[in-house]
Amino acid sequence: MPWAAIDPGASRNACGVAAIDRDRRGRWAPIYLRQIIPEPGRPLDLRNLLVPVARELRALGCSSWATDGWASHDVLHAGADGGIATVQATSDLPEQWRHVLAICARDQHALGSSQRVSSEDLDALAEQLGLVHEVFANGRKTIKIQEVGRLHGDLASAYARAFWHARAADYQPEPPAPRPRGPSEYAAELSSLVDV
Amino acid sequence: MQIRPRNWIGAVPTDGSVRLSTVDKRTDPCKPSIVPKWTDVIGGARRLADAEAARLGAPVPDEYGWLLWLDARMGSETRGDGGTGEPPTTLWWRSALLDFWRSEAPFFAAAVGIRGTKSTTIIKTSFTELILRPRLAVLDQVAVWGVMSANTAEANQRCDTIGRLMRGVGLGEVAKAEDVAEGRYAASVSVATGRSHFTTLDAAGNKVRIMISPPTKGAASGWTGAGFFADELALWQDEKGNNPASEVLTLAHGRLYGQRGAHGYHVSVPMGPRDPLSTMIANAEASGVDGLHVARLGEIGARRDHEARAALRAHFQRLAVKAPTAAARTTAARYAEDKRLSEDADPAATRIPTWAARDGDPGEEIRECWRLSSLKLTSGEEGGDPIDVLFARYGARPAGDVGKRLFSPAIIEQARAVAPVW
Repeated sequence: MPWAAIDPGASRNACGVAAIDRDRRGRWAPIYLRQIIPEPGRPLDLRNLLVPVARELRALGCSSWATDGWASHDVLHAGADGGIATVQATSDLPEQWRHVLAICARDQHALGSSQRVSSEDLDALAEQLGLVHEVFANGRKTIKIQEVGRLHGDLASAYARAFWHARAADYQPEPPAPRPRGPSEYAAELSSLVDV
Repeated sequence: MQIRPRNWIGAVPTDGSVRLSTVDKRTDPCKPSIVPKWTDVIGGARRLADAEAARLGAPVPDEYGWLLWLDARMGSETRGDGGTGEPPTTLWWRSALLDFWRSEAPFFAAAVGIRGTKSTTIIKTSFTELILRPRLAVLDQVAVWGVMSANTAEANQRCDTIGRLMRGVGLGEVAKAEDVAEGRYAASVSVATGRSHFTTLDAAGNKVRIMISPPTKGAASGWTGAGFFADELALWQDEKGNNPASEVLTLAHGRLYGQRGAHGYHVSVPMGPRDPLSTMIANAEASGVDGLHVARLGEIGARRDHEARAALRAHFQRLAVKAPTAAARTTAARYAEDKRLSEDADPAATRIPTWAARDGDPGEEIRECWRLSSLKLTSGEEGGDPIDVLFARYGARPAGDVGKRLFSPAIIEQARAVAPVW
């Protein structure tokens, strides 16, 4: 099941959208990456812009996306129009980033070339991940993404938020389906139910 | 009617309201010969300030004279262990505080490196301002000087300094705050809660108190503020790990209302560009508010800073040639080229290195700081480079927003090499 997240921005920040899923070997990889950069003086119209994005995510199998509190009204309505629910992500940045970091540490992270995401988007994501720093601010450790021009690491933020949405660090694979029973086992079960 | 004594002589009221029987006369350190007579002290301090004003060619406020008097008193005093007197306030701190007092701003902020004699100096001026500043006490309200530090244990460390000052100027300890009379002080030190009090009488006979506490909103509420000292401000933490400075200081600042001339001191080693002290300084720099005076390196500090960094650069240049191993020579050559060692010192800088704030030979000071910084405790690029540690820890220039990188190039390269199988 894929998990989606959004880091909304409209004028000063770009709008980043990411969705992740597990591949056949259980590794986590992006299945959808999009970064919408506003032009100077022309803020993004999130309400209209995000509806097709939500529909694309719905088509990929996402049932919800996680977002922060920014422009939450627009995100909520765009998601509803696109057919997916909106989930409020935690504001605790270290907790948000913990999940993607744990997946990296377990060597379960696949950022290689994929049929689903363009290599340009993967390059942009890898570049932004390289700018993520742990800093000491306001008496505690927090996460800060170094700004480069008008890019504020919005794609990386959405990507990490998608891992938080999936609770990837705590993810437990579903147990395997029970083995199909043979005719003799089925007959034995039937005979136990019926007084013969 | 009880007449408030005006000075330390004749300290014992005749109405029996103060019980001095709790003081052991045989061991009482408060000998009449060394108890200061505050009217004389104030006059003497003013003469010291006037002499300094004549030397500097500019007016010098009373507070500066009080600090000079305390330095003279503590310096001439002999310790119980036979040691010599306490070292005086350093040249940079005297100049920084003089600029502050001349500015007539109520609040002072200084971002100084570790071991930059921050706490000692501000406790000294807190002590003199509490005792010697004239104030109006309504209905015998106790004027309180709040001292807050990072946590309970850190706050309690200030008790040692304050107790030493009390004894050093000749005050004798009594057991209870209600027994305090002229020439006496009472200490209530609580290691468990971190709330400790030192109570005595000021020069006008009003009861005054230094209250030491961890930084909580409760501790910043409800007292008549003679002043306060926010120590290690960037390191304050509440039970959730957040820095409560904005809420606590909002309350503490309000306590000073109505106390003419009261001062609030904010001092810490900076931990990053967004810690409360750095934010306070940056906001003051941006808005130009006149309520906060920010300590600057100044001519004295800039000269010491320049000398220190030049000495360390010369040390690295020597090592780059003479070090016994090739690795050490390469590292020393890299350090010698670090631009932080060669840039000009800015007298307007608000980050005060330890070697600028302390007295002593600047070259020796920075070399000692370097020796203590030069261990690299973590591996790879995640670990701080020793020269970064030197400038963050002692140079008051934390790496700030460029902190520890979470995704190293190796981690990203490893992930890029793995293609998902859909």
